[in-house]
Amino acid sequence: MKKSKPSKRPKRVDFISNMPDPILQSILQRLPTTEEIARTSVLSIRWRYLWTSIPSIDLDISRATAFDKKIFKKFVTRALENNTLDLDSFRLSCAGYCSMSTVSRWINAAVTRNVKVLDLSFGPSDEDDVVELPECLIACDSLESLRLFLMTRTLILSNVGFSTLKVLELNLVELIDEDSVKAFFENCLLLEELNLFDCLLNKLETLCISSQSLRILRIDNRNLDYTEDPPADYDLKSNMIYYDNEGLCNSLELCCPELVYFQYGGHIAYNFDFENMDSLKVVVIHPEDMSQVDLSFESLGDTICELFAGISHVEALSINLYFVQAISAAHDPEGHFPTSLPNMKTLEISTTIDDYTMQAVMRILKCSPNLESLRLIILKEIFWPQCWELDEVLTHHLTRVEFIDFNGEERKLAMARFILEHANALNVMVFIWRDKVKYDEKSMETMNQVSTFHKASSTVKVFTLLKEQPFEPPYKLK
Amino acid sequence: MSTSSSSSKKIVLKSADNETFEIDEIVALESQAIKNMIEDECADNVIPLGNIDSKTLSKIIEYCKKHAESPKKDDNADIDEKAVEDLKSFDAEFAKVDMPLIQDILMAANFLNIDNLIGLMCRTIADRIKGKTPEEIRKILNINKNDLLSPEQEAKAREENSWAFD
Repeated sequence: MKKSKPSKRPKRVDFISNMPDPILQSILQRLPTTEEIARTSVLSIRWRYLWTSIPSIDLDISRATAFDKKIFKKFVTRALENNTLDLDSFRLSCAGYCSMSTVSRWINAAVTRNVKVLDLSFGPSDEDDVVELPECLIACDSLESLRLFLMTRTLILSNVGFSTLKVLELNLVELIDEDSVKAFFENCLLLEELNLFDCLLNKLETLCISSQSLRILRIDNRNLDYTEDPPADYDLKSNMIYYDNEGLCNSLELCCPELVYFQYGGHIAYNFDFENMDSLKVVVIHPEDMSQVDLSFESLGDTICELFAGISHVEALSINLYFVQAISAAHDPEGHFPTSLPNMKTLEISTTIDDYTMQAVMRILKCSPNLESLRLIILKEIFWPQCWELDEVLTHHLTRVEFIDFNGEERKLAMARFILEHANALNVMVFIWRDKVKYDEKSMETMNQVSTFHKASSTVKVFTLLKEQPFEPPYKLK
Repeated sequence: MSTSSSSSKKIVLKSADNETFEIDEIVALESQAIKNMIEDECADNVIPLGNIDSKTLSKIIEYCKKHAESPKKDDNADIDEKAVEDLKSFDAEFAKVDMPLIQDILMAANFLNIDNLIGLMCRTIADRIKGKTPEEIRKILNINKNDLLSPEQEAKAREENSWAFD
């Protein structure tokens, strides 16, 4: 069309510096850390104070290799106090290096700037390991989201809840006193999302969450490290936390009429009391090995059946291999295992292919007459089960089947074949490959093989995809 | 006022160097500024863009075409996912140009008010200066020597923010 004229701008003007502030701020905001953003203060006169107008602050003491605590403190104070603009977010990680009073002062400064999102990671080493949130934060009327990472320090919750908070995440926090915990959650009147990750709850007999507003709840301690003693070179700076007890309470009581999403992972309680959970639609239950707890696998299975009974009305469910194994070991004397999962439309199962697990999977599928979408994550194929009695389930509603981490394995393909032969409402079957080499090598061949299978549904489309990143639990459920 | 009635309606854009580009109206609507002009019925057949040269304008049209054509959200998640991936790789390829052109595109996108494109260019610039020393960044952004801080001012800025410079 046309050639660019090389000498059009012999002396380039400094275009970027001539852009309006919002553009320059938009560039700065895309730099990963406040440290990096602040380094632009020496670029030129125009850039000198631009960094202070960035409405988010993200500082981490562990980013420097050799650091001076004093210089860090001075800089945090500066970043917070040299501007009065409203703060969208303030993220601070200072491990065990700052006292509670210092952190409180910074929280206060952020509150003064009407902070919306606060993300604090600290573990004050002074006094008695107990953290109490400053009153100004509880009363703050701009705060929408709070994340606390407390390195297993105890958090004292007051009976007064946050008035505006929508999202609360507690990470490695020890909670004590079940009455005040209950009252606190009850009094966070706008709380929509609560995440308790790797929290130490063993000082509570019962964890009771009763909320009129809560829509999303995650209780997950799959990342807790159970090593008994900290190693000799245990370093406060690292995020590894050591503690030597079980971490979970005995009972879980939920009364959340607006709850839509519930994720429960790691060590689970033994008793459940669910009330007013009619809105619940999506549930992820990924229990973890509890061998260090004095509980037989059978009775663990009974516990999981009880939990299963409390959520049998959901539309989407994700369960892991441990869940599948435990329910197949259960005696279930009280008959908790649901006789019907009437609303179940989407089911995600991690399992192995063998007689033992397949029986449990089939049992679930059999009581899900309205299942539309099945996602299979097959971890191992041990042997092909003797009989499949799924025809009935498969024929009615199942429209979509996905194989995650498919890499052309023979037994997975046999399973796909079985499903294709019987599911007459099937629209889509997707094979999601993880291994690029195998994908390049075998996916065409697999597709050719699949094309020769008999298909009960004349409209079924078969897709093949490569997705190299692992699916992180909880898997995205529709 | 209706803009969607005739999907094949054409708009002509004229660059600073008097080159004209005929494009579908739907493509032009990616620009909030042009959209406003059309909606206020103050766009003639030809929209003159006196501060955008033809090289930059053709890049911008390429971007708007792709984004206008990309399927919008619908029920089919597999197609959605493919479209998102496809658009992502288009954007990545699109941004593989030299800094002067990026700056021209950014200025023009700012003028034409094309949000996604402004974001893409800002992200590209941020990616290029990420992890670089101030000296390197000055070179990348072609910061004018006359605008530099005096040695004393620079020393003061480094002292004030010494945590960030360690």
